Amino acid sequence: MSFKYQKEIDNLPCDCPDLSEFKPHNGQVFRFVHSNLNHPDNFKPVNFIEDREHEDCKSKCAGYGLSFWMTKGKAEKKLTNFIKNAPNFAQRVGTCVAEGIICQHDGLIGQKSGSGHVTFHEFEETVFNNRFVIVTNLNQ
Amino acid sequence: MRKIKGIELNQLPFQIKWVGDLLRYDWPLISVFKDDENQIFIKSWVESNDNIHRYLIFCAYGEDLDGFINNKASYFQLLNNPINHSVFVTDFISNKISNCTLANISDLPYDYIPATDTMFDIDESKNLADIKNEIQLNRLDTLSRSMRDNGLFDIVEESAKVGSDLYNIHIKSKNKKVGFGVIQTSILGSLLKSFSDISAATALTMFDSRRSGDKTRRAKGEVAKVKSLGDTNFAYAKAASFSIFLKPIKPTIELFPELGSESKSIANQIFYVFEKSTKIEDLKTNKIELSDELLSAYTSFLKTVKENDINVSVQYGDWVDKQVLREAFDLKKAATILDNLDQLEIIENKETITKGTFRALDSISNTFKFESSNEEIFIGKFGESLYGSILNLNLKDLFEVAINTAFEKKRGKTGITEKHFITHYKVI
Repeated sequence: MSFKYQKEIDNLPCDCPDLSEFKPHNGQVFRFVHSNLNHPDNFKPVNFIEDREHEDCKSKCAGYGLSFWMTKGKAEKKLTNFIKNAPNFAQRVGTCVAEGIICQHDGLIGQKSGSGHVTFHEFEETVFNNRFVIVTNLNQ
Repeated sequence: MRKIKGIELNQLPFQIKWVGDLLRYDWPLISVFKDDENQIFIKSWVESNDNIHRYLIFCAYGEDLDGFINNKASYFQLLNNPINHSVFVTDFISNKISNCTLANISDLPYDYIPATDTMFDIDESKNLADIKNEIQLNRLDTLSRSMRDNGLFDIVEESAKVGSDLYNIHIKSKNKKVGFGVIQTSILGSLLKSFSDISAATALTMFDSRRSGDKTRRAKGEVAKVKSLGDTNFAYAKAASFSIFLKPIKPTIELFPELGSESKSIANQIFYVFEKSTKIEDLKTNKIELSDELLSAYTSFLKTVKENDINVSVQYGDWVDKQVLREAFDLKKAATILDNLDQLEIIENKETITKGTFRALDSISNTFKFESSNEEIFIGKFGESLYGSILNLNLKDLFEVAINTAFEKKRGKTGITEKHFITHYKVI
């Protein structure tokens, strides 16, 4: 099955995603979103939002994936921390945590970091917009 | 993008390389960069629109970054203390700088400033080992830059000229207190006296730590003899801003033959204390080597630096082995060390098991007054594990209690305070 951004991924000089680390997954995940669930950036990989230099190919590859958190608590804590450090993070990424269920047909998930963060590479047909619901809005 | 008040530049006036990230999400929010001279720069994302990504780039003190990484300072504090008090508000379009404004930190919009309690989160960092390594390199390079900028003398060269090990105390200030070849007598006197006392107290501490038996009993005249090992003779001064050279007095007795030269051993110990005192953890770990006398002299030295807002570099040159010991103090560093010294306490604990009756009980503040059978009075607090059971106690019955007494003595202050805690009790 092809990835959603296969064309861009094919241009990278490294294995993207590294299939020894990225596996299918079924379960609940959390993502930072704008309060308007139809905001165009909610499920757009960062490489299409922040055009910047990457320190290595792995980092550039991650930029074609979506950031998820494995628990609601971690997601809320991290979003609060990012906004405290960079107040305009809220305007760029949103003030909400949304919950959704992903399955093995949606894509491949990377290894969980110490902070509970994972990168998810979507398959071509995957559309998340209507499959997530807001569970926390830090502005309320 | 909002226009920021400041000086418009086309480019950054320096070239920097990425070292690591202090905070990253999908893109780095706060990163560490360096230039060719190992000067540390922080690049911090503040705002973006569809095309332009704006970052603050500023030059940071290595010790401030170290403080942030070790959770002793917030990112707010790091950002608010850039070198030269300025930041480069830099706009990037497709990774290229499109605009750059040199701005004063106080002219930044409110939404560019982080919350005051934002601490370092190791989970969201990248290349932390490289960042830590960079702080070390920065420390060494700052020292060599500072030597160059402050016109410090080559102490080994100077010591070779006089054929002896030498101390150099180099004093500089931006106020009128120290100038080229001029210094206020009170500052010079205070620095020389406190430094001489540091040296004498160090000699005594070293002597005591190597002695067996009762260290409080000394032979007549022994203290003066040992202290004199740390003494120095004024050698000469130079106008630059004001630099004094001190020659260790040649010892007439050998107290630490196993360590080689007395003056070198003492100098090593002095600089060891200088270095360890910058971090409270190190100071606590090494407290055995810090006598009250030494701390009192060191406190006086640091207060002279702090109260007069002067920069003092102390060097020791070993003319035989060509080794150099060096430490620099400024107002900020002196204040940090003074804070550290203030926190230093000697604590000893003693447990007493005694019988008696309670004379007063307070279940709100969890405090007690207890009189033992031999009429000794203890006033203190219950241990946390006993908070729930205080209401079961009374003023009539005879109790056996275990009292933990903490003896605390603030460094440099006379008097010991005792704090009592009841850790266990039973009705007899």
